[in-house]
Amino acid sequence: MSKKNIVLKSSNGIIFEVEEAVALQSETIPYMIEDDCANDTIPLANVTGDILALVIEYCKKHVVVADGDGGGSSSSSQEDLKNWDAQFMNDLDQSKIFNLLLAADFLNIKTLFDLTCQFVADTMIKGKSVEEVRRTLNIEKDYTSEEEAKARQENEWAFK
Amino acid sequence: MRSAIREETMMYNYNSKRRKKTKKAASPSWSSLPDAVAVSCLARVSKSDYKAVSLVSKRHRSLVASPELCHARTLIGCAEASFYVCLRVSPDPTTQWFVLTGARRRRRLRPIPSNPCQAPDSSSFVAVDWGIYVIGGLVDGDPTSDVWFLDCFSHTWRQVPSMNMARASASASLVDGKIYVVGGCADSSNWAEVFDPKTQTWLNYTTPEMPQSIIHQSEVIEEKKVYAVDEEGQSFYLSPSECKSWTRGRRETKPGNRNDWCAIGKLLYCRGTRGRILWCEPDELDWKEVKGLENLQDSLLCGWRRKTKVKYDISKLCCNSAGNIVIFWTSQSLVLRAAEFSLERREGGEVWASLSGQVLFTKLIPSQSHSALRTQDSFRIVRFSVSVTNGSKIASDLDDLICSSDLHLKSTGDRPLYRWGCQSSSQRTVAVGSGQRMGHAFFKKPFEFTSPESLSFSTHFVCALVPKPGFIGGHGIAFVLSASMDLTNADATQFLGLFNISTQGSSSSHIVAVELDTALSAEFDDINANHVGIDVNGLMSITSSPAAYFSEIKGKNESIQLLSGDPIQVWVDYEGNVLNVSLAPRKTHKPSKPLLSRSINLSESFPDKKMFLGFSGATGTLISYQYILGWSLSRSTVSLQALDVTNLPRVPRHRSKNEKLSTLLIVLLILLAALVFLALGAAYVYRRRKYAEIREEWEKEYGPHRFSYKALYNATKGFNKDGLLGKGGFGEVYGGTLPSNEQIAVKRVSHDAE
Repeated sequence: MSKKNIVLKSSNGIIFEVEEAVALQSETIPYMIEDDCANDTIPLANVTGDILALVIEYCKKHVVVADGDGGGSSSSSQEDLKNWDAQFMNDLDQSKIFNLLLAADFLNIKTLFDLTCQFVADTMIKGKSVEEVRRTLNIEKDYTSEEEAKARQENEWAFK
Repeated sequence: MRSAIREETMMYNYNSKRRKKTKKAASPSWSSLPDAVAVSCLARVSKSDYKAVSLVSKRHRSLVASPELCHARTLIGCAEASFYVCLRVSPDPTTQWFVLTGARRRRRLRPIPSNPCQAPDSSSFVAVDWGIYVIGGLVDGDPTSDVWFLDCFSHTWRQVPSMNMARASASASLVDGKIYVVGGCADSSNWAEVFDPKTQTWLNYTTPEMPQSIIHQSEVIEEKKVYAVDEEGQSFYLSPSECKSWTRGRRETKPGNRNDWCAIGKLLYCRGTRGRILWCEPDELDWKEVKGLENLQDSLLCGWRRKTKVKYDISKLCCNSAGNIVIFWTSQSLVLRAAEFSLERREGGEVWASLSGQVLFTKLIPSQSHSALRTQDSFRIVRFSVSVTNGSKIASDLDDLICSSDLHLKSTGDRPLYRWGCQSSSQRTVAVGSGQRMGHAFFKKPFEFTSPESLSFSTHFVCALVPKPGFIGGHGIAFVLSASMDLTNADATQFLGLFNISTQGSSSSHIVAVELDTALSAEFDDINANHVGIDVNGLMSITSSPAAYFSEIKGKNESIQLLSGDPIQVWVDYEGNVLNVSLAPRKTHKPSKPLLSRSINLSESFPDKKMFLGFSGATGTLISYQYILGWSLSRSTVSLQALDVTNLPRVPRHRSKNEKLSTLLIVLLILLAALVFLALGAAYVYRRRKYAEIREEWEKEYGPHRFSYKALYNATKGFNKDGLLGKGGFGEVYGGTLPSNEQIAVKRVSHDAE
């Protein structure tokens, strides 16, 4: 059984060759294949090589599991996959996470996008105070003190 | 094998390149993420986090409030689809909004800010992902074009551009993200309008063929087609995306089945009477009953009213995001209930429902309307005129009094008055669930004494017990000496707000009271329903007497009706271990002989050498109004400031319906009298005209020369024989003198003249 391979080219010119099944987890790539069928290489202008490598790593892991589960071991493999996902995300620094998020958005890989969003939400926003969120996300306060007081007052009953 | 090798080379590539690249890459930050991506992340935190997020920066605030965020939450299933209930409890004209919260058993309606400007009636509601549009409606009977938007995320209201036409009971539906509002106005040229929530603009929506009659109900099937039915049962449908004209459909087979249309899947549902739910194919409009609801109808949609089983109607039917039907109904005593059903189309084309959701059980009137009910009937009372003296005057103000429960103290105008413990209306009895009320008023400074011998006091108060029209009696009031001001554990009715069944008769009560009892409680050995008694730690009076006063003039006791509504003066004096109680009508001086005189050691009842003085009153099934009009208190009889009984506030009169009737009668009588006078006057004028003498021609020139019989009688001195001048064929001629000294001759025509 011959597997068709797809060649992806990152914005900084790095070539990745992946199996079709891996690449097709992205919903953007099929369109690109259709549009650009003469050439085998698909240029991904918005994704740098290191991020693309991460994306491919994720896709490969997930395609393997999708192929491998016959049914019996599905719950344990789901569990493994979850752990792997958590580990995968934990190893990344903040700028990589945001890059990955953008790449997942661009390549339209739903599971990866959801995973990254959830990770951002859980680690950077959830349960944090205003100051903590500002610090974590490196956001500058653009409220004047009056505006902030007003906003706080409005919030009193808005988010019950 | 081949792919594995490739992988390795790839990884190698990646590693080698990364070293070169890291510094070059502009590291993206949170702030550089597009809004759509940021919203996707924000959608995944819980709603409670938005409070903080919205304060992070202005951008975050707008993101948090954006419809996109709500939409994203819906997409990922984070959004908890909520039910919003808008209801109006008559007679209150304002609508109240609630959101159904809580999981499963703890479901309840939580009030959210209402919109005071919302039309109270006939508005159309359209729910979008992030809020609810309230379109048009009736304000004071006139349609309005106002449109309001309830932001369901922040629970805030804002006004959106008004419609071009004022509409009430219009049919509004959401198709392809736009709101189509049809009908509800008289002008058929502006029959329909469409609102684009994105641009917030209204456009007239004209179609070549527009149904001219009033659209009664409409519903959107699968977000594509609008189905509508008019007053006459004629159905129409429209696909806004495909064509721009309404297509006539079938006529409704069972007209009248058109309340609360709601589309689930490809079927229409509506509510029927007596707890039925109906369904039909939109093209056929042949309404059939949903099966499987018999249990519900028998158990939940039923109640007992005066021993007969009644079936409640469903008051609202709608569908939820899960494709289930949710019905709301109110059972007796203003309880809102709801139930959720899943639907299943079985073979043979029947639709079966099965109860899938918990039944909500919410008291419809929230607490504030209870208080509204209460405040509505607070009365036109009271500034209290009290002068309490302790050698010198220590208080003359209401502030020195502590009042509890139903004591109504309110200053209106210059009429000081003070009352408590009375029923207001039978309505409130229902609302509160009890007809038993009590009230207390205490002078808040404790009355202290050093030794039993030094304990003495003298008090004078004027009270009035006014019967409530339509009710028998009341339980009366008591002047109370109590070790504690807190008598909230006491019971009303015959316990007078002093005791309850367990403290009654207990020596630990530390209460001494002078009761003015207007009810005969056999259990306390009351002598009659109009008596005065002295109670120590219990309502079994140690001494009592029918209400009376010693009349100095007559030299004997005259009885007093306590529950007459007239002011009654009461004196209670305690000195030298003797407690004297005297009564008198308003204008009488203090009688020289007390009504009750009893030797008693009050200090035994107050071991703490401290007591509070005040009043207590209660009502039960027997209801009366109880007023204290004035009160004066002192440590001794000598220093007691006399109350100026002439300057006391008036007792409010409580007119019964009969009295109202009699006023009506009086007015009618006056009218009748006026009519009689008019009739008499008319008759008089008529008679005068009829018998008016005819003036002759010559009289105009020389003036009237007519004399009354009386004048002639006087002039001839009563036709005296002495003045008889002669006798003719027609009668006798008399001579006479007029008052003006003119000599006249008068012929008296006799009846038997020939």
